[in-house]
Amino acid sequence: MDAKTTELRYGLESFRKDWRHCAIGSDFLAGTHCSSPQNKELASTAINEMLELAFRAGADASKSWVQTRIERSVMSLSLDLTIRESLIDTVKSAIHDFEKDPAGYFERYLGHENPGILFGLSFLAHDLNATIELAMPADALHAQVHLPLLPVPEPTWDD
Amino acid sequence: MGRLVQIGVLRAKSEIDEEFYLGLPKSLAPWDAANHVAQFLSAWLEATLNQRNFSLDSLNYVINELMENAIKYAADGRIELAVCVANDALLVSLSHPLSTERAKIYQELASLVFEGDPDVLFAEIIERNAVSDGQEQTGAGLGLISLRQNYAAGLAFEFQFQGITDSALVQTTTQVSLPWI
Repeated sequence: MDAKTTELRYGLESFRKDWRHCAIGSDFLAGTHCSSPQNKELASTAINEMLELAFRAGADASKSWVQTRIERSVMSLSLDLTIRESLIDTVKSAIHDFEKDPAGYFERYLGHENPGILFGLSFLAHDLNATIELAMPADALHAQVHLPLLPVPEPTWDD
Repeated sequence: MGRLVQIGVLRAKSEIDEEFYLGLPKSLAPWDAANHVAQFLSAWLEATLNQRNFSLDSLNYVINELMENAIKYAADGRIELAVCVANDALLVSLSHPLSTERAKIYQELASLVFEGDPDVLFAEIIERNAVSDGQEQTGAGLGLISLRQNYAAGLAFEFQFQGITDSALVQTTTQVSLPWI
């Protein structure tokens, strides 16, 4: 484990009992890394999309991991989870579609009643200039997001 | 593998389902992180344990105590917090590295708190503080004693000595079990 990385791991069954876990977890992790309100909001948005993906697509019996770290004004987020069996083909197909053009994926599905499982991540690429890597060996999904943060000064004790 | 010292019995991971894990570097844990983590976990448990009677104030207090100790005394490295839901209690475990010197102090304190009568120990420390010109003694174990005294918490400690030199770090785990109400 990298010394600068924060890791959050939920038992997925308890995590999926309540949608609020996504917001609670993302606010916490964002606040751990960022002190400026602007970057905290950016980071929280990105983490929330990762957690919502785990909430929607994670398998019941598995665990999900979210790892976060910041290096030189870029926040890196990793998500590892096992995909629910019924969604494996859907996620594979969405990844194929997504990888062609992550930001374009957002425009294609914007306004759709059912915009697809990776719509949240495509929002990060489209609106927040994040780069996203997805890999799905067998039924496991690994998502990596690199989110550029704003060059805002961090508050000091004098503020 | 170095020497292992146990005070009390830590519940084995195989015995329970680990529900929640947070690992963060000590460098990302400023003083207010204790309260930050405590509030986060309380919110998580409130959303998770709606079928069980549980005092969120108790959990807040436990997390604050454990995290404050880690922030004050841990050596550089990772602070790891696990919360598990068992049949009879909520288990909170905190692990972090300590210097050998600090580990010896904590080990003595842990034995005292584990074996002593919490009411007697509490009174003794309060009296000692009262006669020390108002200079409150840090690291006296008041926080751990109050967990036993006020929250009926069970405590267990583990010290994994990594090496034989004084500069080696000691991986320390403190486990608090809070019985369901």
